[in-house]
Amino acid sequence: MTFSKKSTLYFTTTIFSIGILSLISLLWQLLNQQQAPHFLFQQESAPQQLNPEPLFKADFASHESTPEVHSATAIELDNNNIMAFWYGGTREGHKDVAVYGNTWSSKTKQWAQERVLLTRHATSEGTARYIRKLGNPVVTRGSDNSIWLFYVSVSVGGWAGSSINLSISADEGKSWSAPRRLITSPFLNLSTLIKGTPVHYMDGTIGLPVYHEFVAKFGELLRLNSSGEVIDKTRLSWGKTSLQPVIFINSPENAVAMMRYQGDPPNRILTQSSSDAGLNWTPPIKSQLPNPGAGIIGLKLHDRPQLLLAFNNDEEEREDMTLATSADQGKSWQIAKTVEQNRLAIPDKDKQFSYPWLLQTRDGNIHLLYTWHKNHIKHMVFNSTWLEKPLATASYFAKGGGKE
Amino acid sequence: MNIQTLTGLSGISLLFSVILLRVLLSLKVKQQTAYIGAIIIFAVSFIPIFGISGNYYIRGLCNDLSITTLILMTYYVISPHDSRSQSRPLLFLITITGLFFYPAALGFGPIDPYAWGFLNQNQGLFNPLILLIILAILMYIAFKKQYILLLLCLVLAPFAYQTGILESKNIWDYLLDPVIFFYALVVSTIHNPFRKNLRL
Repeated sequence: MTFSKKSTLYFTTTIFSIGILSLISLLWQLLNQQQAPHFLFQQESAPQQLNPEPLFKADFASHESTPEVHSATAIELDNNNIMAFWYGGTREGHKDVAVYGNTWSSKTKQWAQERVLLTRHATSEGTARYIRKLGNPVVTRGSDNSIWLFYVSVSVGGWAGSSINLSISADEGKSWSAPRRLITSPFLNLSTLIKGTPVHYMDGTIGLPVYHEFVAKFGELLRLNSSGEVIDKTRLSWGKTSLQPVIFINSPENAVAMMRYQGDPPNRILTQSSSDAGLNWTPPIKSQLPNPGAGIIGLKLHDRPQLLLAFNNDEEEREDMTLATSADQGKSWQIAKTVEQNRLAIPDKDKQFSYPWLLQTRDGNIHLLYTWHKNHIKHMVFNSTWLEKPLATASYFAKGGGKE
Repeated sequence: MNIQTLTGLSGISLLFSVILLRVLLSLKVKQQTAYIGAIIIFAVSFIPIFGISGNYYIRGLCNDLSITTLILMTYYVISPHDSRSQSRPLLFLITITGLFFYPAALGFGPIDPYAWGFLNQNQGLFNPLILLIILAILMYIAFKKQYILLLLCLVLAPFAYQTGILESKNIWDYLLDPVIFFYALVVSTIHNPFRKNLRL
């Protein structure tokens, strides 16, 4: 079939005109967009009860439903209970790994029995893609108060081939929507992972700290609209040494990010800051806090002007779990408590403490969850009085800054 | 199944069809037989085997194909004996763009051109504006040179972006994907217009 030159010219002129109109429409949308939103920042309120008794309790959130568990995340429910999530299975990367959930009663102070929430088959059906294995979950609230559970899945290869999925619960964790896929990367949508606590913006959008592991290792901050679609991203770092960003919001414009470090010694937590609500970040620099290439977590306490950080206070091993506080918006840190400390002659990867998660509930109590020896999710609940109580045992200082 | 899922899965099934069609035609199989084979593989790729269909498998691996790839594949189906004067300018442009775009987007350096594709002012107006201006210039060149296939891709990708027919909210995912980039890279390397000169 051949066309005359005249008809071809008529066709291309029409197509070209549609293209120009389309670009004008995009330009109009671009020029009329709202300015980037500020962070949703809640000024700290006075403690509910002045000088309450120190509170500290420890238990396990998981009850050996699976041989291995890892990467806990948690949220407070409307009834003040805690709902925790993690992934568990025969071993990390196994096909039977699923995302589990369990609830802690604020009345009985007991955990219920965990249950499977999301499997790779459910993820495959929801995303219309083959799924080989599941990984890290991270939970937050949507602008409509529904619970948003993000979690990683892999279709091919190792964790560097991860993508992020989102499932939503509108009934406080009783049922979950079919998972959907977040589009975060131009290269086969590969290699976007999660670990840090999401942040919220004043316009109702959500900031999701993520990181890349394929070829390079660097942190990013995604912004999601109310439908869970990625509408913007900002690179926190670049290169091959930084991952798993954790963001502390200090004001509507100011934030501090800390990242796991995976480079040459000395092995320290990386830190950087933003003064324009996360649009631009200073280059990451090494802090005084050590990091054995392990995940960290932090939060801004809502009842006092302090930041709280949970991390492994060692440059080589994950043999402790330590809490540190900062009263100057992350510029300096003081070790508050060491809640776990192995003293093994030979490091044992099965005896590690890793991947902490922190949550402060409305009553002011702080919940710490982390992977305990790879086979349990440990849960500790404590209050600020306990946290501020002088160390009962020998003080531990950040080893990067010298050990007592 | 929503429109985005249908588009994504159909794109992968079309990829199966185009590959089979071109293989069969290169083996001198009768054109009618080749087309029947392409239609059958398109349909079969939707049927679950061991619980998962063929297009689910490949979509898990390579995500959704861009509008550019869908148009090129449709062109190969309609015009199995490719007129190189139409496909070469498109593949050459994809190669050049991909060589700059993918390394930067994968973290080789502080600049992330993928972020420009969300078309917002958060990182400033300059980058998304430049992206739209470049698209307009390329459209004009394609129109003046009568590169119809290139023009169709440059027009329909932004148009599809506004309709949200793919899962992505980023215009780059409508313009480009790694499948067409690597294909274009191979074709451009084999048929490098400068190769003759380089030998001299």
